[in-house]
This record gives sequence, C-alpha cells and structure tokens, in this order.
Amino acid sequence: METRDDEEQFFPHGAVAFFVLFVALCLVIWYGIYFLMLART
Amino acid sequence: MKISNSLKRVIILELSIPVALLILGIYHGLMQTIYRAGILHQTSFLKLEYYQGLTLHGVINALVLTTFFAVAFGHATIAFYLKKEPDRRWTWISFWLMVAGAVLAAWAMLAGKASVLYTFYPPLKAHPFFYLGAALLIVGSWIPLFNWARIYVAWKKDNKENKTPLAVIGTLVNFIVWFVCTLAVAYEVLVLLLPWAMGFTTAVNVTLARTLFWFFGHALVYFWLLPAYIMFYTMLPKLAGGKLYSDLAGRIAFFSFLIYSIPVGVHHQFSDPSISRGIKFFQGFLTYGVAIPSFITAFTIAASLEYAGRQRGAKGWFGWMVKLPYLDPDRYLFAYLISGLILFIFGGLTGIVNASYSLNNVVHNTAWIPGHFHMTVAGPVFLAIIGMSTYLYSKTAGKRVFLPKLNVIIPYLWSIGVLIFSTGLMWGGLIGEPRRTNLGMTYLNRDNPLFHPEWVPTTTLALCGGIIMFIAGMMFILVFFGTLFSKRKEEAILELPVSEVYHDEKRIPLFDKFQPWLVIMAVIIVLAYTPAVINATQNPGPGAPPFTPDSPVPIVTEKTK
Amino acid sequence: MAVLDKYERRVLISLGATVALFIFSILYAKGRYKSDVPECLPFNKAYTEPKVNKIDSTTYQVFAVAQMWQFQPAEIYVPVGSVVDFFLTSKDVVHGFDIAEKNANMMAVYGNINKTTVKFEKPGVYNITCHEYCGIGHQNMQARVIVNYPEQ
Repeated sequence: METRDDEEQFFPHGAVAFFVLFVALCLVIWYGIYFLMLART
Repeated sequence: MKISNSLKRVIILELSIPVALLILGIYHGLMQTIYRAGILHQTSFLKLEYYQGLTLHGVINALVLTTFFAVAFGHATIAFYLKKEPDRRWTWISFWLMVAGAVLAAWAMLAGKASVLYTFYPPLKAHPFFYLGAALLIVGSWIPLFNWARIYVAWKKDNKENKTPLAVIGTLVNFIVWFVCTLAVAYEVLVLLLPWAMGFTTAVNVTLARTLFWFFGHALVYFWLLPAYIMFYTMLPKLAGGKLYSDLAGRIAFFSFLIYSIPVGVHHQFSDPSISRGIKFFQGFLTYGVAIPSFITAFTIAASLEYAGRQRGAKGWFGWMVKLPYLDPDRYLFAYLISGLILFIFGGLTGIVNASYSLNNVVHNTAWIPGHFHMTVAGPVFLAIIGMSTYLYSKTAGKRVFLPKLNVIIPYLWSIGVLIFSTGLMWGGLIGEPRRTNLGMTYLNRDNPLFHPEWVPTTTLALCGGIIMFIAGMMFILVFFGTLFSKRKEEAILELPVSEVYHDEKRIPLFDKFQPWLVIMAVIIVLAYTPAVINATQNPGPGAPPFTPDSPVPIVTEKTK
Repeated sequence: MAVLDKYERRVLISLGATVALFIFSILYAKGRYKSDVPECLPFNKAYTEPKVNKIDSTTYQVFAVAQMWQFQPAEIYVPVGSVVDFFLTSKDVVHGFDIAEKNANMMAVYGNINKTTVKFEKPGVYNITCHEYCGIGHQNMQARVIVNYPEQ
C-alpha cells in the first residue's frame, strides 16, 4: 500500500525528539546509580 | 468475526476467572503497603498472614492472571487473524488443566501450607499440592501452542506470498519462549522439588533449583509483556487515529525477544554463590540484547502516535503528544495502552540498571526491585490485561461496557498510583529498605530496637500510591463485573482493532519465518546456560533438607531418617 | 537492514552506543574500584563455622553464617581503614546479606560459599540486613559491623 499522494511526506521528527529525551533519561538514571555505587566502594 | 459458542465460552471463562481472583490479589497488594508503612505491627490481619498474603499476591497476579490471559488473548489473535478456530477439545483440556492447577495451588496457599512466595526457593518447602498445581497450570498452558502452530502451518501453505500478520508472529513467539523456558521450571518442580517435598528424596541442590527457576523466571516477564507489545504494534496506532510507522520494526522486536528472552536469567542471580563471574557478565551483556525491542518500540510507537497527532493537526516537535484520544470512552483501549507505555519508560530503564552487572549490588533484593517491576508488570502488562479483558469480554459477549466514562480514567488513576508507589519503593531501596519483609513488625515499629526512621517517608509514599492503585483496581472490578452482569445489547463477535501500516515494507522472508530464529535461540541458550548449569552442579556442596517457614528445624520423616 | 527505515536504523545504532558506554563504565569500575559481583568459591566446610579472623591490623576475614533468624557473628568489630573479606553461607534456607552503604549484597545458600570484600573507611555502625524471605522471623534478622578507631 503506497502512501497516498495527498498525504504529505511524514518525517517523525517529534518521535526523534522524544527518543533523544528517552536516551537522555536512560543515561541519567543509569549514571545516577553508577555514581552511587562508586561512592559506596 | 462470529465465533462458536465453545470458543466464546472458553475465552470468557479464561478472562473472568482471573479477574475474580484479582480481587484477592489486589487486596493483598494494598495490605502489604499497610503492613510495611507500620500502620499494622502484626504478623497477620483478618486471618491472612503477611507472607501467606504476599504469596497469594504474587501467584495470583503474576502467574495465574497473566497465564490465563495470555492463553485467551492467544486464542483470540490466532482465530481472528488466521480465520480458523483452535481445536475445541484441546482448548477445553487446556482450560481444565489450568483451572485444576490454579485450584490446587490456591488451596495450598489459603490453607497456609505454601507461604513460600511465587519464587518458592528451596529449601523452603511448600505442600506438594502447590508444586503439583503449578505444574498443571503450566502444562495446561502449553497445549494451545501446538494447536496454533498447526493452524499457522496450514495457513502458510495457502498464503505463501503473504506476510504473516504481526499479531500472529507475536503470539507464536510468546508461546514458543514460554514452552522452552517452562521446561526448566517444570523439571525443577517435578523432579527436584516434588519428590523432596513429599519425602522421597532427602536433599536438594538449591543453586541448581534457583538456576532452573531463573531460566524460566526472566523469560516469564516477556511472556507477560508480549501480549501488550502485540497491542502496541497492531492496535494502538489505529486507536490513536494513525498508522504503524514500521511493521518490520515490530518483527525485529518479536524475533529479538525470541532469541534473547531466555539466555539472560542469570542476571537474577548476580548475588548468588557458585555461579562464576564470567557467566554472570556474559548473561548481563546478553540482557542488553533484550533492550533492543524496547528501544525500537519506544521510537516506532512514538512515530506512529506522532503520525496520528499530525493527522489531527498537531504542529511542532511535541504538539502531537497533546492531540491524542486520551479520554475518549469509545476508544478506552487507547487510554490503557498509552498509560502503560508511559509507565514502561521508567520500568524499562530501571530494568536496564538491574541488568548491569555490578550496579546490581546497589539494588538487589531491596525495595527498588518491586519499585521497578510495578512499573512493568503492574504497568503496561497489567493495564493491557485489564483493558483488553474488558474489551474482549464485551465484544465476544455482545455487551456494552458498564460505566464507560469511569472505565477510561481507570488507567490514569492507576498510573498515578504506581508512580507514587514506585517512587517510594525505589527511594527506600536505595537507602537499604529490604523487599519481601513485614517491616511493620520491627523496622517500621517505633517501639522496636530495629526501628529505621529513614524508611518512614519511603513506606508512607508507597502506602499513598498503594491506596490509589487499590481504588483504581476496585473501579476496574466494578466495570468488568458490571459489564458481565449486564444484558447483551450488541452482536456477539470476536473483533480486534487492526492498524494499517505507514511504511508497508515488502515481505522479507527472514522476518516472516521461525526456523532461523529458533536455531539462533537454541545456540545462544546452550552457550549461555551450559556453563551456568555446570557451575550449579559442581561448585555447591551438600544438598539441603526441607524447612517450613515457621521453624529452623529441618523436616525429617520416617522415610528420610 | 537496508530495507529498514533510516530512523529505525539510527535507533539501533544509538542503543549500541549506549550499551558500549555502559559496558565500558562497568569494566572501568571493575578495574579501578574493584566494583564487582560476589566471588565464586567452591564449597568448603571450613566456612560453615562463624568466625572473625584478624589477618593483620587492617585485614580481616569474617565467616558469616546466616540462619533462621540471625546472622552469626551478630556483632563484628573492625578498626577504621580495614579491609574485610566476608565469606557467607547458610545453615538452612536462603537468606540475604546486605550492607547497603557498602555495595555488599549477597545471597546465603546452604551448601554454597559466597564472598565479597569491603573496605571500611569511615567509622560507624553498618547494618547487615537479611533481604530474602526466610520464614516468619525474617523481619528480625539484622546484624552489625561496628567500625571504630583502634584503641591508642
């Protein structure tokens, strides 16, 4: 099924922005625990 | 699609029975937050002992509800997409085996003879009916896979050039993983534990039992999650008013689950003795592989929802997030799925922490762990189960949903509860608060020398979250049973929302067949688990005798003396 | 993969980069700070008797035995700055052993020996909490490591 000609080409820029924030959150949570671990060694 | 009365009845029973049990399952969730916050300083309340209730909570919510639902939803997806009903006799045999298993285990737990928690680690011993019940529930749930596989193979013969529907890939992957992983726990239960619990053997290798359990236990969480993933990919875009951004991404996700779900179980044993650091590191590394589906899904679903939002006129990078049908009572499944996804952001990311080898030292067996998993199993999994239970029931029974406006806000109320609850637990966990503990007796009892004031705010937060969750849960019970007891007003059909695809990628044979993935799955499992099982059989010393939770004196019977 | 949407491909690449970052960080912590999961030892009966061995003024060994519902030894005295090897086993069911402020987090299993090493740089009372359900007395199960300056 082709995308209809009357639909504009869709680029998921919002999803990319969301995904960037998602990876950022991943790093914040992970390194939060990581540095807590290092502080306790 | 019209379905036979037989299929309709088995699906309805498989949905309703666990929802009824959920009343007790959710009640004891609330009770735990009450004991743990130190509101009660007792070992039991209303004749249910704390650890007995905790066992019921875990078994009902995480084993019975999830398994029955997965089977019912599996029947529905296979019948709906392949247009063929599963074999009548075998669906009922499967049903009765699962019910018999659940009844046996329930009796043992309610009689106070199986307060061993849903992980039932030896040398704590439960009544033999608990183990037998678990085995029957599992064997009953195996049966549908073979039936569905035969239907699929026949469908493929008539549809050589057509892509297998994504929901069918999801259901078959889910049950293949389930079948393989449950072989280990069935062995543990039937060969290691049952004879030992009955006194025919005297000692059990605890590490081996734990290793077999976790071969099962991690894949278990994907067995819970995959029905929700099927809904995210094949239904959510449609419900939002959009299209699925990439069908191929869904296939990559499901086949990744097929190969990575099982060979990672040792990450639950990072703190165990006798398993080498090398294997722990290797399986921790493989666990990152199982983050693939989650990252792909986060992007693909966001893209699909963004498309939906733009169809409704949204502009800018984040405008689409606002223009989605969050509170539309006619599309309540959207509400259940989106709130699950929001929770899953936090649940999934905290899961990555848990898998990260040495980071596990900070969180293992602390309250962080239930904080994490209530944002996964009590997040997207639970919400998908209850939303779809209402949906599938109302469609196949031809009923209208009772109190539709209440129905659509339940997932949001539940999610607010979970976020507060899990924040309290995770914070507590990071300051040493243990899980699986009746804190109210000692650690949260001001009159006790073990009192820990720093756990007061954390357990209070969990209590507040738990109360909100309980209210939302009871609202769901009301909506479900209100629907169940209402009169039929619609045509009784099996229907599921079906999303169109935006990028309709050409059929790629590799992502439309199982054999290569099954081979990869087998190879990785052998590589990952052979050393672990060798460790578990060679490093430990003597096996352990059985103990019941109430006494440090091991059980010695005439047979074992 | 050529047929996969270019954004999806980038998603996979970012995951790969994130995972590489995490693995590097874990290995760095292991090399530089000795942050690791517990050590794997084959079973030896010698570790089943509770004991505190002083190897020298800053090196100790503790043979910790968990049972329903206490740890033995229940109070362990070590001087500030000492390095302690904890060897852990259980006399009965599975117990947990958690010194939260020191990343010492192990399971005590009958017939198995677990080991971790802790350096106590600050004085104080460190609780050892059982965090695995072990029966009706589980919530009573806590021991202490008391770290103080050595007598002059």
